[in-house]
Amino acid sequence: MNRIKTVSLILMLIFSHQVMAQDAKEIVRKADERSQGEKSSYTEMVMTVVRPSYDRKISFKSWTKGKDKSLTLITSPARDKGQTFLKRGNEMWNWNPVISRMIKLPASMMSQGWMGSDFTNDDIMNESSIVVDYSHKVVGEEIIEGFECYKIELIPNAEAEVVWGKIHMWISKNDFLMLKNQYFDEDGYLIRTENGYDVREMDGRLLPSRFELIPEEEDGQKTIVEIITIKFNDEYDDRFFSQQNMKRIK
Amino acid sequence: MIFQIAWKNIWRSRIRSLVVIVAVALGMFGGIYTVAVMLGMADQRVQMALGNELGHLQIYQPGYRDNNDILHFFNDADSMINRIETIENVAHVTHRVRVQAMANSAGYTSGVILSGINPEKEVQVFNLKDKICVDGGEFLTNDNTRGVLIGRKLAENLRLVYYEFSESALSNLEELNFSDEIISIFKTKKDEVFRSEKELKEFLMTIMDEEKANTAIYKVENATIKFKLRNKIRFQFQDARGDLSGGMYRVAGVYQTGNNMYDASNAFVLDDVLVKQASLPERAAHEIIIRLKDSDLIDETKAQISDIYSDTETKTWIEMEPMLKTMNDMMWVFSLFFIAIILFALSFGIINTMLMAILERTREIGMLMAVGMSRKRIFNMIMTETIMLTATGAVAGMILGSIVIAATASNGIDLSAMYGDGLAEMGFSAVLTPVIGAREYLMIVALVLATGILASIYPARKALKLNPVAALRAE
Repeated sequence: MNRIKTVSLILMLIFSHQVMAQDAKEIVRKADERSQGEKSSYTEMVMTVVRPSYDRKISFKSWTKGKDKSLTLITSPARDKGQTFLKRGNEMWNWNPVISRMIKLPASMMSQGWMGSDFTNDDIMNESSIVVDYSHKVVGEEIIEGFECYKIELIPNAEAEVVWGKIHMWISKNDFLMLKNQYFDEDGYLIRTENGYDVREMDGRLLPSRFELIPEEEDGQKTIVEIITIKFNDEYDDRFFSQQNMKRIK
Repeated sequence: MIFQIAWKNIWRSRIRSLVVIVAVALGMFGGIYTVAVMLGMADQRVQMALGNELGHLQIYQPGYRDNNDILHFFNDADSMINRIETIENVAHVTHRVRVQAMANSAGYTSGVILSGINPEKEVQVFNLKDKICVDGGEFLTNDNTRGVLIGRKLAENLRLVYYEFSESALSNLEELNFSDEIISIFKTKKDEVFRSEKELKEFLMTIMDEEKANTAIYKVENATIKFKLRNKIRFQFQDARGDLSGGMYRVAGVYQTGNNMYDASNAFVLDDVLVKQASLPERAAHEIIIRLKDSDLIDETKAQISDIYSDTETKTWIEMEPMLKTMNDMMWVFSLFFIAIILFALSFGIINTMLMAILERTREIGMLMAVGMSRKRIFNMIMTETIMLTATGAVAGMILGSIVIAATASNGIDLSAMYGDGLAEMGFSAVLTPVIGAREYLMIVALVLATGILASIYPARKALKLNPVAALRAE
């Protein structure tokens, strides 16, 4: 009798733990799908790069299809206007009309800030997956921006190409919105925070319309991205995401 | 005969001669010592470069040096190494696979040259193994397939270090000349972690003024630094097919060569691991590095290798870093100028002394002439006197110089407290060891003799112009 009790208790523990883990992974997967799972999208955005001595505003339009094709066109300031970026798979090209040059971004540029912001080209390439490369655990529930959120801890798998020690994500319970991400190094120090604000309905979907990225160890630095308009699931031909189109697009 | 008279004449006015001798001796000592420090500095830089960075000879595919293109590699480095090892003057050979990579830690990035090495052969050619920092982990071993060896500056740039006033750090700081008051403040910060140099400096600025903090930071940093061994670094690079590739590594060890530029931009992993990640053939290498038995025969050995591998580029360290050689030569030219200026100034003192001596001895010289001593002999006598005076001072100065050089060379002159960081930034060691070679010594001796001769001409001519009759009458 006692033995059966113990065994069932152990089984229950294992089982419940698995359910929890499964849940957490599921939540992250849904949130991931929600943020980039659409068939295609067209977005107009304004990015503000905040530095201790200056602010810089960059406007751009961006087209995406699936997860691995995107085309981005800078529309202001005048100095950068007309520059385009094409991402296909894990390769990225940059067309600069001022010098009429097409360059494939080399590995050495992947970790640099995109257009001088705190977003690295690597963030944009988004090679590692928050679903596959981490193990997930719900560690709490908190209210962020008026939404009830799960707080989920992501620990990178041993073989994952991830330098973070862990990530904390706050994902809303009802709509699976990613409202806050915190990135820690292996010693548990907070290195970077991403916040989503101003959740509103855009093209029929509820989304945060303003994001900010704060590198925690650099005083007075952050990058804010505001979505002006967004449209989902228009049809784009694969040829739209081509080097020819990079030079043409307006 | 003339020598004895000249020598005796010098000591007739003992104080005056001694003053000149001491002046020459001190001048020589200053000159020689400065030269030794300058040459020592240049020599250390060369030794450092040879031992840690370059090796005596390097072999590349033609064109590799122009843009470090990953595709310019040797297919079978092993057989080349075996062949080169049979050349007589070759002591050791190793190879490196090199890619230009981006190193990422959590939130920080830095561009580096990632080299794949064979640890056993590497340590025979380079002495990087001896440059591992205190508590800085260990050199790469063959079973550490995911280990990476990084420079201390790179570790700092990637924030893979922290600073902590631990027990051992405090005892180190106590040995340096910090006041008790400051040490006690340090003690209150015990076991508090400073995440960056900036944080540490901000703390120092709160307890001392800016100028002091600027000089103290280097010492405090060195005493309190801790390395985050086993932390992850991700390297990204373009592989041989042109695709984005890379891998995760963990910090195995941290080295410090004393050349910050090198330390900030060089990371080492095992060659067979890197070769796979870079999609290169199994035995590929970009450079083959050779250490020689006798470095004087470098050109001969280079020619031998060029004969065997005529379609490669074989470079000596001088060809690779002509700056180093130029710097060495420049240091020597500067030194010669410096000594020449000292001697030029001294020569006026010598001329003055000799003129006084002649003025004093007008009657005597007149007498010597009157009893039939030839003008040539008078000229020789004055000249010998001057040269002896100069040479005595010079010899004394050189002996003093040699003694002080020997005394300071064993321990070196430690400038690390004042200029360590700045010197390391330029690639120089912070502990200077003065050295001076026989060739340099002989050159200096020749210069001194030349000065003596030149300085003697004017007084000796003056003596020649004396009219014996008038001189005899002079009071």
